Amino acid sequence: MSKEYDVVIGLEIHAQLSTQSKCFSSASTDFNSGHNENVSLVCAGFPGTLPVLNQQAVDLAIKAALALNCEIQTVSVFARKQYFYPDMPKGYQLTQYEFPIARNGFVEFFLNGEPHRVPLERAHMEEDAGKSTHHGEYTLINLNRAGVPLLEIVSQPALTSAVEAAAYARAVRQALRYAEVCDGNLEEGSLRCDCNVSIKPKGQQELGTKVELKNINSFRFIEKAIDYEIQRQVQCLKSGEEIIQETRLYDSVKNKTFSMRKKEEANDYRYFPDPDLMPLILNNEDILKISRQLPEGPIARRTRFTKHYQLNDQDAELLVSERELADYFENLVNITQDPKLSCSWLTVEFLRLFNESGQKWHELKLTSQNFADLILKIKMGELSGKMAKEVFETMWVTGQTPQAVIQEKGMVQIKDVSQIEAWIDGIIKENPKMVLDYQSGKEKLFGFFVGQVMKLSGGQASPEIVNQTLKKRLKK
Amino acid sequence: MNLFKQTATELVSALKTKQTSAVELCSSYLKKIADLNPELNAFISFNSEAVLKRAQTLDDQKEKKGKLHGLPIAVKDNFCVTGTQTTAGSKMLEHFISPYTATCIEKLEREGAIVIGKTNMDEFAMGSSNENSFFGPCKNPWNLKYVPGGSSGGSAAAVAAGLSPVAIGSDTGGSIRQPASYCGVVGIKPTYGSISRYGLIAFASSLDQAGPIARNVSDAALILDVMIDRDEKDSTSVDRKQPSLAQLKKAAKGSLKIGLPKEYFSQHLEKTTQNKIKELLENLQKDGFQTVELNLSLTEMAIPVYYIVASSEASSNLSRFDGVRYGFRNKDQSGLSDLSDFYKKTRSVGFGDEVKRRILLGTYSLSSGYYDEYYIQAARVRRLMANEFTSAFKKCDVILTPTAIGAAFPLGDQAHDPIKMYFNDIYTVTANLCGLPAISLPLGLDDNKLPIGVQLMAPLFAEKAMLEMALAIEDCVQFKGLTQ
Amino acid sequence: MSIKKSEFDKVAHLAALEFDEDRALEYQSQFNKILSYFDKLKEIKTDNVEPLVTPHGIASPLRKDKVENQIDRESLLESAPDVKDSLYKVPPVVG
Repeated sequence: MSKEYDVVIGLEIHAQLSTQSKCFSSASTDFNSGHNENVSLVCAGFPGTLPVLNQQAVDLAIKAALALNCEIQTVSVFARKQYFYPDMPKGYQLTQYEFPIARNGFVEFFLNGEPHRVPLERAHMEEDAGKSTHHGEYTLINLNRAGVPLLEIVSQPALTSAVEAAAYARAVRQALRYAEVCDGNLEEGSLRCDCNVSIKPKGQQELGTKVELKNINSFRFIEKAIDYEIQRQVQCLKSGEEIIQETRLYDSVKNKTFSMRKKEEANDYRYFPDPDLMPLILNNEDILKISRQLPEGPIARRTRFTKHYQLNDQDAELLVSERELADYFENLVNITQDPKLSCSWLTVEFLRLFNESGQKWHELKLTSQNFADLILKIKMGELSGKMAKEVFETMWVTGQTPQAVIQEKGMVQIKDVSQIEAWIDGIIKENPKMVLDYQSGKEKLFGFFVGQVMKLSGGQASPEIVNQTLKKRLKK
Repeated sequence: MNLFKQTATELVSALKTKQTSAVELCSSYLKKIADLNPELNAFISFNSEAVLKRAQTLDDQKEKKGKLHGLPIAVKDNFCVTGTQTTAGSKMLEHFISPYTATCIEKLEREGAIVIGKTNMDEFAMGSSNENSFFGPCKNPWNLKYVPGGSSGGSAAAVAAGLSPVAIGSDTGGSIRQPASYCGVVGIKPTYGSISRYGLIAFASSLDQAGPIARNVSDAALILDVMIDRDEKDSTSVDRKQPSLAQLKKAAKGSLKIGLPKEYFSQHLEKTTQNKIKELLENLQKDGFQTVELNLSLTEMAIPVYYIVASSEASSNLSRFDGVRYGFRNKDQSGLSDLSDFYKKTRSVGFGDEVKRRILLGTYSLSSGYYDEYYIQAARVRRLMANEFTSAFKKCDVILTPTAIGAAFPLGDQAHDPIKMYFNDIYTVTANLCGLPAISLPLGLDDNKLPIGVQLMAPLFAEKAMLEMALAIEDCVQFKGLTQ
Repeated sequence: MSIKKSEFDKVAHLAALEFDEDRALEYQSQFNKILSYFDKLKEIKTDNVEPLVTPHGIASPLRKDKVENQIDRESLLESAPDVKDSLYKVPPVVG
């Protein structure tokens, strides 16, 4: 990053609140419906129709704001933000402007092991617009999305790098998913992120001109888009050009930002309080009730994992990165009583297949109970590492119990001590030099002997008995 | 039995006792509409076939439980009624067929009322003369050269001319009461929030209220009682839980104290109206009603506050008319340079002059740099006005004022002077700004044989006292309408 | 208070309305008359007065999160001036 300039970044994150029906109309929020199927007369803005606020949207907004450590406002007001656009049916968007539902707050996260805390300015409720698709000669409008409830989370301009901004966005997503208020899917648009980026010469007090970046649909692109934009602004300033206050779109294919409009039209949204809605009044008891329902957040969980389960920071952070993963981990540990072994199987084998398969949590066949049983068998030495891996992979696909897989595959462990002794004796006879070396102190060679036994047994010898017997036989 | 001379209350009981049928009643009224409407232009549309079909269905029902079973009702054309052309008096909605019915009309229908037709109105309810209708002006049945008032001119004219026993209007700044006054009928604007606005095409959300227009106070109360209810589809609707308004007693002599704000009897008021009110007050005083003079010092601010608030809200409420999802779209799309051209072409042709004037005014009042000076200042003065009324009602039970500065004016008389036209609303807008219930009832005729009206206002939710006082006044005035 | 031509044009643009020159002038002059009449509002002292938006002070009622009252697509689109593939069709929006 440039050493001559300070970078100032603020993020506006739009999170879709997971309700069944829309914010002000009782039409469905289902994402996968056909064109204009989730529409009521209210969200299509028919003459004479009126908005009525969804209780669940309010409750989720409160929950989200609490998860982001915000102060809930007991009075908030929906205003009309007015502009003409074909996917905005009423000619105005309902949004909390002067009086948002939440103020202040902060988001904490770790970046390269360092704790960060980003202060929030506010969080406010609003309704989404419909979706336009452009076809050159004409534009088509789908209103399925129009009126879906959103919470806009506005950070203070306190972020100083693209990496930090992306980490912040991930942390917000994490917090919202932990609180179960938003599914956090960037690709489907249930989480959207606008970035305000400006730079100023190092040490200068006054902020530089702010550029807003839109159309960013992954965390990786948040980082790339901001990095590109910083470089662009640095180039601008160095070549004596002026930075224009504007909205730019990020093109992930070209990895560039583009100006949205040639001539910047002066917007005048003419906000005023919506006379069709009354102020939203919340009482402290209701807020308290919601705060009691709030599950443990990711930061608290990370701390608990390191203290209670003695996990290292990296493992703890990886486990809490997704709420489902952390839940899965705790389910495993409850049965296996072995955090370290559970963590290692979960973060290595499990995540490898999880990421390769691209499965969603609810599609998972492998139950935590079956997985825990497998880990217990490993712990008891009933399966060799190689066998365990094979059983695990089958369980992943079929969802069977480890016992069922072992029987099906005829993978019975050889625990016959005399058989194992016979193999060991043969190996000792064939490798006299190795035996001598081991006995004179080269203890690393132990692994070689284990490997040879396993090879002879076709991987089926009980590792525990192999270890015990080898140790006995190799003694001078 | 002469059906046209019967009040709504009488008709309902005649229908119950089978002295007449819904089919007989509707066909009589439809015939009269067919005869007189071409000249009067009180209705924008009516569908005889559908009306008679519904009447037959109601006649066929064994149990006639509904409070209004079989009663024809004319409905202002800014109320959505399923399957009817619902135009709001505008080219913008000339061919709009509503896919749903307004809650308050649904409530009337559930009690057995029959929507006999949709009445003429100033475009989007903006006007005080009905001359701003895309479908041509409605005329005053007392004298066809005069305006019926507005914006619910069609509803008032229809009731006055006997084209419907009762009608529904909407009142944003006097749009029920002023035409009721001009046409010699009774019109009520209830307390804000009493009647659901769901399905009433919005002009100004914080001012609009639906209400009945009828030949007498009892008929109006009968309809009002059915319409008042909390509606979960309207966030501004209130749960009133109040006693029925259907069974009213005339206010007992001397039981109520009448407030007389001196600002409402100022130099603007025409002499005849002034004298008639004086006469009325003398009679009421004889009956033991006490009067008290009030000061409502902010009265002269009512017109600017009203026009800023109403236009601001209207400019926003009318943004949805953009030619995308329903209504008029300008087919001439040549030379569109950008999207805003598309909107401009449609909206500039689809809206009439007065509507455009108010959209501009409202847009200006809300625009950055003027918002505090206009919209916010108006909303603050509005608060002061409401406070002033609260204090005034500590000294009296009802407030009595003229409804308008005089009787109806001739067609075309004020069309070119918007400010003069705005001034017609001076006595009526305060009730809307402060949310108060108000009623206009006939007071007599002026020298031109045109009706003049008197207005009562009451505290929020005090309709009962207001209507009982109105019954006492009605009794005192003994006004004879055109149908009597 | 009077309004300049450029301001009038800006307001008309925000309101998505257009006027030919003569009409614009007429509107502008009426506009100025109306505004000067409204200026008397400024005489009223309103420091610390809470703006009144809605005449009664009830709190916002809330609706249960239940899907209902959806309109079937055919009825919805029946009112529309132009439709393609069950989507509303409008002239191209310049991105």
